[in-house]
Amino acid sequence: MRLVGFELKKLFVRLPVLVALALFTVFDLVKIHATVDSISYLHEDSTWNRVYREQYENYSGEITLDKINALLDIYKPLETAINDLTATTRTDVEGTLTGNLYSDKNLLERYFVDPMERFFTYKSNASATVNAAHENVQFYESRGNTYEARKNAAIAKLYQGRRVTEFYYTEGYKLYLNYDFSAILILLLVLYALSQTFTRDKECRMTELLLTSPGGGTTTIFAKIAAASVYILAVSLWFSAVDFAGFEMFSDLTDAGGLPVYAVETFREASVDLTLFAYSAVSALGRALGFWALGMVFLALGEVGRHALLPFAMGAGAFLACTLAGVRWGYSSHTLIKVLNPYSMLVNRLLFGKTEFVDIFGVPVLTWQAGLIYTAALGVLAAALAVVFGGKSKLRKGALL
Amino acid sequence: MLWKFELRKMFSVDRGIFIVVIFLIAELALLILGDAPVNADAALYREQYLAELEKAEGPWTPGKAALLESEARDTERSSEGFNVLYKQYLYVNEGRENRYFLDANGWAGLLADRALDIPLVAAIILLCVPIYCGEAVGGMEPLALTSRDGKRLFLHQKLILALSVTAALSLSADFVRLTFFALKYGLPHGGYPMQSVESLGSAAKAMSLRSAEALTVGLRLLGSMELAMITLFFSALCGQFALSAFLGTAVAVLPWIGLDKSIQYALPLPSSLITVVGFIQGSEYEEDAITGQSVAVFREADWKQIGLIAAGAVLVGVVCVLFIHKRYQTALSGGRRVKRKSVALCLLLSLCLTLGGCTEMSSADTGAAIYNSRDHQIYEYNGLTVRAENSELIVTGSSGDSISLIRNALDPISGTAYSTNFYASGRYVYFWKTDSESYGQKLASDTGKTYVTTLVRVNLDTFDSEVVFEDVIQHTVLGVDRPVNDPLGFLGSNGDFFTDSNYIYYLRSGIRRVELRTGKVSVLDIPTNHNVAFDGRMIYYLASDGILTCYDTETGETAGIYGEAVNDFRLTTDGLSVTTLAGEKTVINADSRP
Repeated sequence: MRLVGFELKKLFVRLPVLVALALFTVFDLVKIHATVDSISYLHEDSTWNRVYREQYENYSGEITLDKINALLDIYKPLETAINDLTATTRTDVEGTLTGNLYSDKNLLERYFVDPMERFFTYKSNASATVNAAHENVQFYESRGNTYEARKNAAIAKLYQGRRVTEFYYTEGYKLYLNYDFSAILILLLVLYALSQTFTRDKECRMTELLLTSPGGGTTTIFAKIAAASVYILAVSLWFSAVDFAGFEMFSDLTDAGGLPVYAVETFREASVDLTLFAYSAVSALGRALGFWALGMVFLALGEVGRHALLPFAMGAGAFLACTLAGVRWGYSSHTLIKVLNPYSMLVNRLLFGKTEFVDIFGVPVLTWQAGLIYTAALGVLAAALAVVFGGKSKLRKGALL
Repeated sequence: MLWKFELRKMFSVDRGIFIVVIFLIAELALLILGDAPVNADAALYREQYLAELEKAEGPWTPGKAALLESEARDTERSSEGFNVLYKQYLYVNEGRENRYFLDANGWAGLLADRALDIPLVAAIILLCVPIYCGEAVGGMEPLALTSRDGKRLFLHQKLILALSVTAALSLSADFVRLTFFALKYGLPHGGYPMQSVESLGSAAKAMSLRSAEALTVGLRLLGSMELAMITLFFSALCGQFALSAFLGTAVAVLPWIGLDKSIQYALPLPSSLITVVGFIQGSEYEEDAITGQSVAVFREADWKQIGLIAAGAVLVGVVCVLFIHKRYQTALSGGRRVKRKSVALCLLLSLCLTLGGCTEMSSADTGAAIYNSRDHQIYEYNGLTVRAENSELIVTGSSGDSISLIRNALDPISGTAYSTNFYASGRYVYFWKTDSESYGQKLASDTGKTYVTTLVRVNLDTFDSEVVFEDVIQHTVLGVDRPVNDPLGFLGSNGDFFTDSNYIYYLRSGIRRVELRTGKVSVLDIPTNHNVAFDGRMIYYLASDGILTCYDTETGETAGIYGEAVNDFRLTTDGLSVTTLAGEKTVINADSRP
């Protein structure tokens, strides 16, 4: 245990790492600010922001018919006037929210009418899906197609009883859950620290020394792997937390935290039934697992070079290849390829956000379940390889000494 | 003498030669695999287009405008090639002084929007990091510095070597690009103004295409040098491989991903100088999706700004070099030596990349088909009838009960769209499915958008569905907006099509043939204004002179079938039913075809 502590200190609690961590955190926040600024209409010091806040008081909370009617009472006349082309384009109209009819209509449509309609109709859409799935189960059973029957039974179970009963501001989550920049920052920090986990000892000729100590050899390797794992999880979760804090700060995540994850438009087909807050945590853990697996691969690669450059380059190359594969197959219907790509666990909305199945010997398995198992297995295998290669070098050095 | 050793160290001991080779292969592979023509139609109908272009090439003149306008009204004569030219005319008309007519695909590819040159950046970092780290880590540093020529070697020779290699890399990357585009599309009329290329149309700088290319080569060279000097600086500063590589990568890549485009091109960053396109293009405006106002998303860099940034890059480089100088005047730091060892872990790497050998599903089993583009909306198979009804594909059984062909329970939630046009052959029914997703919403930009167009086939025996072909367009990756030319953008919209085990044939003023495995598009010269029939191997059509002709999809040969011009024809189970010009109907046995 003490060895793990030493390894952690030696490799990771160092000035370059800490400085980079601090700088990257700032950079991440700057990028979050720019993201919110470029995608949301409510961020700037605009009239929209002010008007939105005023109106939000009236409509947030439980969705009731009264609220819907009240909203439509303002919205419908605007829509009619604009469709008739009779609306004035003046920007100082009395009795409007923003001073301009078009602006009023767009604001209401985008931030109140559309989301509320989506929330309200989700229940009926979900039950339509459940019904269709039940029908399909019967249909495919009658044709002896057991895989499709099982798949549809799983869909029916997953969508049973889904509904969104409350209206809150979900744009913040939409941005947060689609934000990937921090993955690059984590990658660089992980690559840097791990590419030298083994090579540093080699550079210092510590490996020979270590072998003569009682805690040397395999014990050291295990300690290094444990230390690296702690580091990866810590860095990955740290940036997930920074992302969350950033979007909370520049947008807003508190209100909608209790809504189900499928309330966010891009997650309407989510295959997990969690609240947005819980999903954020699960997604962060999934990403940490993905980085852990990649990290173990980097660690095993670290055995290759006589110095850290080759492992660093190979690690970056591997990540790039995974990313390119993710671009090609991330949204593909070939779900198996998606699951086998570690990139999917880093950008895990590709798995959690879709209801897709992998056919594993005739059993439909949700992509995120398959992905979790695969990623964990990949990580363990890579770690095992690191131990094996480490052990091998020990033997050879032992013979030399 | 020492030069030789340094060279050997760089290329042989540090495996620089591999890096250079891999870099060149990567550059070439990216171009060959990744390049899609900016103007897809101009490339697809190249011959026709070039023939049409002959009468307009060069600057705008009233004569050309009148000619093109009058030809555009004459719809009888219009060809795809002319349509491309006419679109170009509309563009040229917007800026008559500096927009010329030319076949611009080569120049557009060379100068247009593109991503950071990752192989170049990687090669520079990998070659520059070991320059000083090698000695520092190996403990040779103090020794080298105390030798008679030590300092000269350490400072000047290494520096000059690294910079000249970097320059060679940057220039050879440009050379590869230039050759590629010259060979693939041609680079005609380099003296025309660069505004002739559409993506540079709004630029205010007066430059010819050739000088724009020269400027990009120059700026990219400067950016490469700057990156090399920064990496050398880190290498000398840290003396550690991992840290130098980490810092070099962070400096090169993070601004490109993390910073707004306007900020990137206002700073002397290696990434912006290497990407370069922002320095030659004009201002970009986007129409706000809600307010309808146009918002400036990027301001053109004027000559002064470019000069300042170039000066800034030089300054950064000089500071780096001065630092290195200073560092080795006093450096007598301790060192360590590394034991040589090489264990290949390619197994693990390949595990990460298990994604390589994946091909689209495309088993044969299409068998004989009867397809007529004019009347194919009902298909019968084994007592089942497939037809489009209320924009849905419906299957009716022999007992008269109807069910939906597409049995995806998630459709009410996902909003997936399906084509009502279908093609059927044997037990399979083929149709298109389109999905889109977007998380960005503010500007009319493509940020956060994803489009997936899929050709699906349903097996009428089991009602299993399979993906035959898919085209995925993802505009934002890891937060980076990437330029996308989608040569397959025409797919999926409600056009007529048929398919065999290798190709999709898409009827769109001529037949566009898409290879299932690679997605490559080519054009078959088959008129589609009459019926087009397909029997699983032969395509039957009326040639422009009215002769019934067949095209063999396997050999690519064409042959006339019926001696004289005919009015119309249908492919039926008995053979080809032909209506002659006199209005008589005869049936030609399918076996009698050539």
